Amino acid sequence: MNFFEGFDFNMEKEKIKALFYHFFDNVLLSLILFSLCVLYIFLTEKNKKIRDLFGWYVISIIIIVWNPLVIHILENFINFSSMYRLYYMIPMYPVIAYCFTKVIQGLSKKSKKILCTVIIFSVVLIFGKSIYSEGGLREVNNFYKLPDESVFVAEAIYKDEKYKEKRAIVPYGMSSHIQQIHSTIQLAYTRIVKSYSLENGLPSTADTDDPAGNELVEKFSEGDTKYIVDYCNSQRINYIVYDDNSYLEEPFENYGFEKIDSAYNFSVYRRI
Amino acid sequence: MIILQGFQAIVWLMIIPYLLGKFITSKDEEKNKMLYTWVIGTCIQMGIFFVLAIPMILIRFKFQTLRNLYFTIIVILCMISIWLNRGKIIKISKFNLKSISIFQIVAIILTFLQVFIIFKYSNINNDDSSFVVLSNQMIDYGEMYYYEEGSPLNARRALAPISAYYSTLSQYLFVHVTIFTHTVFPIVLVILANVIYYYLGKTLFKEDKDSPYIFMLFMILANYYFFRIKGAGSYFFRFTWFGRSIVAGMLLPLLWKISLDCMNKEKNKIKDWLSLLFVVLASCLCSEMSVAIISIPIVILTIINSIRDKKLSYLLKSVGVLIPCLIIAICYLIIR
Repeated sequence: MNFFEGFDFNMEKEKIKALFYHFFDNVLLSLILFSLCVLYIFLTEKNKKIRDLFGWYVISIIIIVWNPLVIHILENFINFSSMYRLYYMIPMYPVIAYCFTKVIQGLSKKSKKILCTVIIFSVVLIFGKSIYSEGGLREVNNFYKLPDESVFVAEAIYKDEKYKEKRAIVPYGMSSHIQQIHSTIQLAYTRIVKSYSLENGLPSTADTDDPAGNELVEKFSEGDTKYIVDYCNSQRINYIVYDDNSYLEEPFENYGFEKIDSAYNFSVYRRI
Repeated sequence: MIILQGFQAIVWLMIIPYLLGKFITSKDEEKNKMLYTWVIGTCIQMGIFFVLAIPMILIRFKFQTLRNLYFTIIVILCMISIWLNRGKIIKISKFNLKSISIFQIVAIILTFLQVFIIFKYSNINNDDSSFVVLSNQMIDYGEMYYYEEGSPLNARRALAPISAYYSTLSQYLFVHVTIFTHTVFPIVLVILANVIYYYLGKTLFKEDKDSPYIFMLFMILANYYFFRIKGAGSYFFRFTWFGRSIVAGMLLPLLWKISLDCMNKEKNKIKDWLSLLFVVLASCLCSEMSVAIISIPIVILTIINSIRDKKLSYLLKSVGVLIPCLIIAICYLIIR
């Protein structure tokens, strides 16, 4: 295997730029603070081991991460989309925490130490950004830590005794949860779907977690009852889960399905 | 049932790792290293699983065989540990209420707050759905990392078999694997991470009593409430159960701490190098990215410290420690 095959310096340089901006997006302040801390360590740290870890090691990692050849070789092992995680090798927070602690350690009285810690905490709490500020944190009533409606649907299908082989079609948002609860429930699609697009005028398919362009997902969300039921018949799917608040052209009951359970605005239909 | 599950959780996530950790820390003169023993023991527990799982996955053993064999090995190792450490399993110095500092109290409160958040709230991310589903499928179908009969091996997942590890532990705990992955294990991981930050602080500020706790507090603050949200620690506290987040938020800081111990002229003890080896193995279990993000720091730290201390032995020992990464890299290139 030739690791250097296809190496293009300019292309790799662009990739390095993209990785840098992806990781340090809108966080110039922390980058400046981190740089100042590294400088502080170089200028004041007398312990060689600590200076090596938080100084020379950091610089070496940066040289590695900004090296086009390294990025090119690593692409054999890591997806480019995950490669920004190479920046995890830089001990950013330990360096900053070390410098803050060092400053506080230098204070003579304990009361001053406490006061200084409280001030730094307050400044960060006022000007910083919580890791939950982008959302995502929610309260649920189950220990699976999955949406309650998904747990309800998975249990309803799993407990139903009419069909031994459970095959279901569920809204796309739910598709990544059901098999985490009962993996024996087979789904028409899961999170990773085939996406169809045009590349150079030719149809192209690829695995993606973006359902846009997937005909089945689109028809399902549009509420095209006939299309959904025809698909279910062709694939021997015996359960349909549908959001009660979504538009549906015709009720599934008209096409040989019956409602067996309903909660959290979702209904579970079973083939009669 | 809940009492049994709780008991099993304490045994498999605390007592067994502690007993395994004793293999490395038993000769330590330093007292009050119980928590560090637990941390190292968890890495040993993960490392042994990795060494066992990789060949068994490649030879297409059934999941149940792996689960039973791992159980047997761990039980035997624990019995050996108990026998070797009889009479000195627990070493605690006298507890003095006056010696507790305000920083220590705040650090403990913040740790409990983190545990509460993890227990109470859910941070749903569909990114992890595939590897939790894989864990679930292993239990239901017994196949490991082969989607269907005759299909090729999913190399990226199989060479970092964290899903199999979750399935195995959840079976011992009699807990659904998703509950184990999303609720039970993150609680342990968050406490372990804080313990690691404390010991990293302790290594950096040797003589000072308060500074390790202050360092730990700043680490928690930085991870939860800093100027960016894509950092390694922040990622760890949001998605604690992801293999790559365990590497980023827990195992890398542990690697930095151990590197200060083992690449050290005065110490340079074989037990520290063994600890480093188990950190590497645990990382390989957690994420295929470890091939890069664990081996590169070790190589760089080895070179820097070898030059500083003029010790060639660091290089030789590091090569030994990095063998798992090398094997996984070769396997990955062959299989993919």
